[in-house]
Amino acid sequence: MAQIKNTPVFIILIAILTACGVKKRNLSENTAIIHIPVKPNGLHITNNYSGYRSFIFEFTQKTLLRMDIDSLKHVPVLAQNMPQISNDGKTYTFTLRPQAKWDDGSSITSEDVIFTTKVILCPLTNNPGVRGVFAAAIKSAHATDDKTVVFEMHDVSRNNLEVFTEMYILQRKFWDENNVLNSLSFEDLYKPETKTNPAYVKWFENFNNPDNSFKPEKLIGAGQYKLTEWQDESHIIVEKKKNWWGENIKGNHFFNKPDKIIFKIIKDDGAAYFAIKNQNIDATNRIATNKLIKLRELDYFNQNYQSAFVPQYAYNYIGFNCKPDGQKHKLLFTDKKVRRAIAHLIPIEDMIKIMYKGQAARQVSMVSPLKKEYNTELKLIEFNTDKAKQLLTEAGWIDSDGDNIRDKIINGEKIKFSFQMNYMVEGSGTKEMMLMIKDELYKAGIEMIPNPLDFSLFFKLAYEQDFDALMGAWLGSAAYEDPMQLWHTSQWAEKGANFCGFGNAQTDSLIEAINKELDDEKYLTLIKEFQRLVYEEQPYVFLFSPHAKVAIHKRFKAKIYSEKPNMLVGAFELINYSGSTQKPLTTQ
Amino acid sequence: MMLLVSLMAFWISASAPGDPVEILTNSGTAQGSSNNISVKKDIKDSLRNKLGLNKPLFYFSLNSLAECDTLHKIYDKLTRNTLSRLTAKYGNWKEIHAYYTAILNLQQKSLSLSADTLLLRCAADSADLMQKDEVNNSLNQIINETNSLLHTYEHNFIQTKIDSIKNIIYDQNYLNCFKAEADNLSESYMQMIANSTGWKNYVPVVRWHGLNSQYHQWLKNILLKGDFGISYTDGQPVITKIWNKFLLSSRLIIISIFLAYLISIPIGIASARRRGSWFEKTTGTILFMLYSLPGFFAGTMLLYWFANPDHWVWFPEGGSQPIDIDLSQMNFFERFAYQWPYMVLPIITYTYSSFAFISRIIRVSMLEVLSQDYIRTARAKGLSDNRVIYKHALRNALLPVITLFVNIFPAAVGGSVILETIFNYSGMGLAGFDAIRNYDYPMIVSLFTLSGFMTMIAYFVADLLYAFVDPRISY
Repeated sequence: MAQIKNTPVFIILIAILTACGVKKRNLSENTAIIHIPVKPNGLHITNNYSGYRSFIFEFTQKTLLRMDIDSLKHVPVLAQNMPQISNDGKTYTFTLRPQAKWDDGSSITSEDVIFTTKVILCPLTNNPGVRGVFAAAIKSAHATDDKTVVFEMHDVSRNNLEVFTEMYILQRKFWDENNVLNSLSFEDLYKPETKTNPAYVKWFENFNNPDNSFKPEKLIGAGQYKLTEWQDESHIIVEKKKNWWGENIKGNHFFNKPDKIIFKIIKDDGAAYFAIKNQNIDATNRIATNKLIKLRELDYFNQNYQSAFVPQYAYNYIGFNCKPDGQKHKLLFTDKKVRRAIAHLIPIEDMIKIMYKGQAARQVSMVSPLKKEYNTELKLIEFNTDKAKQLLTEAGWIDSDGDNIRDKIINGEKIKFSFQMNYMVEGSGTKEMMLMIKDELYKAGIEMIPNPLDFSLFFKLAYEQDFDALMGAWLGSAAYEDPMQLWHTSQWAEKGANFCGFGNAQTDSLIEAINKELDDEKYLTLIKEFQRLVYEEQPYVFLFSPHAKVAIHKRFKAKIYSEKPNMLVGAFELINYSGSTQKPLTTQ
Repeated sequence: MMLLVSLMAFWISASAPGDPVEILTNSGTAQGSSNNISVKKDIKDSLRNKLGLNKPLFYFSLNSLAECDTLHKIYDKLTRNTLSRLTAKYGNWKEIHAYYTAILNLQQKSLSLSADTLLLRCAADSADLMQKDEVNNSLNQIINETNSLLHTYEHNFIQTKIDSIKNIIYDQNYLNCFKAEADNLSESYMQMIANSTGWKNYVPVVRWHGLNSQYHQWLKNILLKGDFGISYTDGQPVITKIWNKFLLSSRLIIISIFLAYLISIPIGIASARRRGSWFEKTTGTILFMLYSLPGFFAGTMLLYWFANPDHWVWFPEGGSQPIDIDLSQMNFFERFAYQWPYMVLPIITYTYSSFAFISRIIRVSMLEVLSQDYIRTARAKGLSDNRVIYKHALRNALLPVITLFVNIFPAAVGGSVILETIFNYSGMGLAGFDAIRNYDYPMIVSLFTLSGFMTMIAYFVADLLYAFVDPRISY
């Protein structure tokens, strides 16, 4: 019986002992493991558009042009050279690289490019979130020969080149073996009968099928790597193609140094932290600030990894509902003096110091200070409670009843200065920052009620313009950022991203002029003027730009960049790494 | 029972906030333009047809006389809600429909006319850029107010918006072409209020929709095809998504519960046999201390000590299998050998808190059984202590444990959000959590239905086990 009693203990001990001993990762293998915090919502070439999709497409797909992470200029990728632009600025002619080939050995031709353009522009494609950007720029495309494509653009715009950096080229033969779309002209794309044509409807139904977002055999492309495995929430593997057509071409978009790249999905900061400590991740740009600070205190981490906090093209902001309905949302922020007063009450420096441990930089405009377009004449708005109080009093907000909350008579009704500020619960440290702001606002006689919301609801209310104020963030890039989407009044009218209701005839005309101005000097003058107008109107309080947190294993020779994804994984060069660490991986 | 579960699940899905079509078309990030709006509508209509959302909800509906029987055909959920609330207030669908049509007319016109067209119409095409932008600005205000009317049902708000639209239009000559639509909107709203027939809301009407209903389609797909629909987040079939995660979660839960019983039952028996002894006191104290440790803390501590180069790297820090080894060609045992190290720490975290609970139940149950006459008789017959305990007492003492066992099955569907997050183990817990966070109702409903189904299976298994351990129980 004693044997029976001890059996469970034995079984458990044996089971645990057999599990003990982590297989040591071979750090001399030329495989790069990259941390990503969420899986992409799909890798459909035209229909999915998450940030991580672009990261992975950098290896598996190719565009005509691309923004170079190093020079921050457009460079040709599938195109042989930069396009020839006609004198009127409305015709772009691309010549494709003669050596560009698909995996089956066939050439990448102008037919593929025209096919891709049709698919992206066609209303039957399930890409409503991005189609507008392409449709606003491209009118039509035609081929003059197998390798030459001419794009007719609607108008002159700084945005025209940008659309070609996001247009991943589809292989016509693979997607449309029977050439169904050949009969579909650019003129016919928007005709009502196209949407009901059974042949087109069937083709697009197949093309929009979710399988094309996930199944490796459907995720083919002209890139130097091939997607070979996608384990749902665990990892995505891309492997280097043999004899890839671009191997001998110089340029950052043609590197294919690692044999294999594994994108490891780790959602939790703590789990990512342990994975880095154990050297199970080669590179990350999404580790939490406090975790990277802790890691940098470890000698063996510093010996194994290069790491940095780098300024990036992103900013956090507080947005005000400048055009509320006056009933559900009171007329609190219609006066720019009030908005400026709030700006004086936000303890931005303290927030950076306490919540970001100093790893963020202030900015007072929607343009990143990393760009030459940034208007350096705009002064940082200092934290100044007295000045804020004065501005509020000038705007008519006084504490008439001695309850320490300011009030004002608006349209015959006494309104208290009390409002809700929406914020996303997912943001790390956001709650604490809201409490810091709440305290400071209260000192000036304003009651702010933090309103935590999940990501979807936050944006739903924002786009519905159903909010008083909100704290959000925008992620930008080194590329040209069209101010139309965030600041034009049309984007308020049609419930777009200008949910604060900024703008008037003057700013709208300035935005349109900026978009059309191709002369760099004139463009700089206009964009700086636009920043000044936004600064004066203060629809946003621009808080800060948190630094990107990057760590890359030293077994790869690699560089860290400000532009996302902050690294050039294709150029990771495996070096003769000794693996000497103070705390080597142990096997028990 | 399953029919009730399915009805409840369907009801949750149908009454949930958020519009599946909006989520599936990624409209949240779409930039607007008149062309885009009609484009989005086309795709939305096509998706609504595909998902069957243009059909009535159930086989029949119990409405009031005032309600429109084809309201479900309006594609925008918020607009449907607005019209439904207006009906509940005014009870005159004919007038409400006229008001709705007036909004759509104004919306259509404001979207179809550009600033250039308006300037041309009032022969001011020589106007400078500034004037064009002023026209644009006014046009945008009209568009915004008109759009928001589709989601507004309170009188004061509606009146303010209509007044605002009229003020803008009447203030500017170049907006003359909107006067007819604006007047019509205002007039139709006044008519809606004036001809209110609120009494119709108190006259019930049963409408029969037959098999052409969303519920019938939903149930048919599940019963005949095992099809729970597609996930709103990525368009993948729900059943495919759930199956992989279910396998991951269930193996953890089943092994955890097996271990919990394997350890707790002997401890419970020993505690009962040695009541008041140092063994009982010591194990009781330790187990209750473990019981009071929160799972997220214990999980993090286990990682800190056993998956950390600062201490010992005995186990992997997270995941469910090695990512640099291809396991697809291996047989079950080879695969399991690679996956087992990834399961140890999560299993320990899942298991330890059950020790105190199960062992205490066994102890109490065993003490009760040991005081029975037939046990005294067995002892009097000279049977050894072990034989009395394991042969005669244990089977009867197991009854409450079997009741606990019922929880295993639904737990396998539920998973554990916190532990799966800590160990980066993407099982059912995280799937459910993500589904709730992303308003992925087909996933939520499927998890709910599966959980209900598993609970029923568990009760069935428990009933069989009751009969097995206690022959006095029969069905």
